Amino acid sequence: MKRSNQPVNRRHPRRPVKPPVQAAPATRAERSSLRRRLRAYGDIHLQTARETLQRLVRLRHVSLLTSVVIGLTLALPAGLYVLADNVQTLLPDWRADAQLSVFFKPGTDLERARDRLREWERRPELIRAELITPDDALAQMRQLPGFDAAIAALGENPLPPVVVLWPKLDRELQPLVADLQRVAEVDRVQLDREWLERLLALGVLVGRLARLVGILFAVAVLVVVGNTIRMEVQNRRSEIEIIKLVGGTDRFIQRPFLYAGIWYGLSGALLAWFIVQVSVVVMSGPVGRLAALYHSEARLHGLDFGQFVFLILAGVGLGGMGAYWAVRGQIRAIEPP
Amino acid sequence: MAGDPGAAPTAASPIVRFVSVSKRYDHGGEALKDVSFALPRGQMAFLTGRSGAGKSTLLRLIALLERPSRGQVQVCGAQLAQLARRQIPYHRRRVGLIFQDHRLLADRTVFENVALPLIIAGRPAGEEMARRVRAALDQVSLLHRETACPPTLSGGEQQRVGIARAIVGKPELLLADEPTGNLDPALSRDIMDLFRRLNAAGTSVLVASHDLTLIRSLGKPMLVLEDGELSHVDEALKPAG
Ligand SMILES: Nc1ncnc2c1ncn2[C@@H]1O[C@H](COP(=O)(O)OP(=O)(O)OP(=O)(O)O)[C@@H](O)[C@H]1O
Ligand SMILES: [Mg+2]
Repeated sequence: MKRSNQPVNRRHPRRPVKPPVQAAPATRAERSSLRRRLRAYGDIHLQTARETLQRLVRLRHVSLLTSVVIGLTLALPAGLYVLADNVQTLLPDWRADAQLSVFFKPGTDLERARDRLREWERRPELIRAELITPDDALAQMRQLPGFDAAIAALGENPLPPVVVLWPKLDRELQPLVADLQRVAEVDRVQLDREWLERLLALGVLVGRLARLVGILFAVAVLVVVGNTIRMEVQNRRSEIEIIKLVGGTDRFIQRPFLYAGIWYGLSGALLAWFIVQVSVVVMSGPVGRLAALYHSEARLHGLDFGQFVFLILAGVGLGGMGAYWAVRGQIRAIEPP
Repeated sequence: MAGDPGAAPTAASPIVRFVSVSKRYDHGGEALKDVSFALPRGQMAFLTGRSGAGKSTLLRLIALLERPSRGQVQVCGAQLAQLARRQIPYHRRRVGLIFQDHRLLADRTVFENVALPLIIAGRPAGEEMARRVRAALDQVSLLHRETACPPTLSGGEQQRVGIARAIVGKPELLLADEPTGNLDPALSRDIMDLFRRLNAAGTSVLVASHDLTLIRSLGKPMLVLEDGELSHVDEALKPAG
């Protein structure tokens, strides 16, 4: 730039320089130019994201359709997850008064029953255990109106000793029940609220199902986004060719498509969230009435903030990945004719 | 930005050098046969010949839109055969290409079309970019159409948009394929004057054209293609050695 009176250098400062950079600047200017370029780079991304969104809004029908399909696809596993989560958090509440009644065989020696009681008290899954002797049981029965005469008629006390167990809330009870049933003196184990246990097991099952469906439907989202973007690339083939003609890199060309995928994923995830929250509101009336029957304050809950963030990230990630997967080889393969 | 593989450019090395280049299309005959010439840096030259003689093919080889079947093409000191795939875009940015069929983005405005090379290169941005785009549009007298879309323009106007797009990035080498094909004589002159001005400012220019009267009036060296062979090469364009 020293001989700037020469038109050659003024118009084309980089012409004679080997690496194509602007006229050789001082280091400080260079550094500030790097910063400027970084900022320009960020601006390009913001601008691409915005332009892509504007384009999707313009293409209303196609993009809305894709977003809705993604929304429904994400809503099913998210909904199942919420269902399982509700079952698992609500039921223990109703299980608070669950007890196990262990009936000994008739004629079992009271001392033996006491031994067993001491043994069981040490089990970690129990909060408390209590022995009801045949005499206690009989005394309780006597207090019931009308039983007095009947008991008198029996003569000998026919009732076996019974141990009542209060299990901890968060434990699976089936293994405990199986253990108890193997004990020689035990006649029968009665699990109160057995249906709740089944529901809880069902809740675990639904949770597993949600995860499985989540994986399958994640693949579905990848395919849906990938396919939409693939068609979009085909539609814009001549545009891509022209950009390649004037020196656009594959990366530059694929950027708007990746943003389109991300927008699809984001809008789909928001829609899925909306669907789930509305479903929860719709369901909470009947569930509240059901809970009231069990004197429970339990309320259905939707996705909490962390789960919402996870859903959004999943949508954005799947959208971006689906787009990348569709675009990668395809844009590379397009050559200007 | 990609470095230049191959020979380091020296002041003396030509900006374009063809060494025994032949091009045979997959479904077609030999479009170029044993073509050798050198375009010195800062030179302006014309490429002429009948339709189908291979003019577009020759320009396409320079812009790496095609690869030669035989021989070597050297541009800006780089052996194009040695350029990796991912370096091709950077090569094309150094070469301004004006196409016979315009090749504009139909759904973008004139302004956006012309800005494309700057957007791709990521600089300059903002005000400076707009200034450069308008300067390029001004040079082809299209400043008043910057918000129009190409399909609403005449053939000649589209051609000038293509020219503005080719010059906006201030390329080292400008290649023009029939840039005046759709223009009236007065406008053709203006465009040739523009090329001359760019050339005077240091840009190397190679223009393919049938318009022999216009070419002769400009007094620049010529390459004449006949059926894929160079039938005439002016002294200034003869390969060294
Ligand atoms: N993609 C292609 N595939 C096969 N043959 C081709 C292809 N492109 C050009 N050709 C052939 O190569 C020869 C040279 O074509 P080219 O386009 O270079 O001619 P041209 O001199 O530019 O002609 P015009 O003045 O009409 O533009 C022609 O015979 C043409 O048919
Ligand atoms: Mg041609």
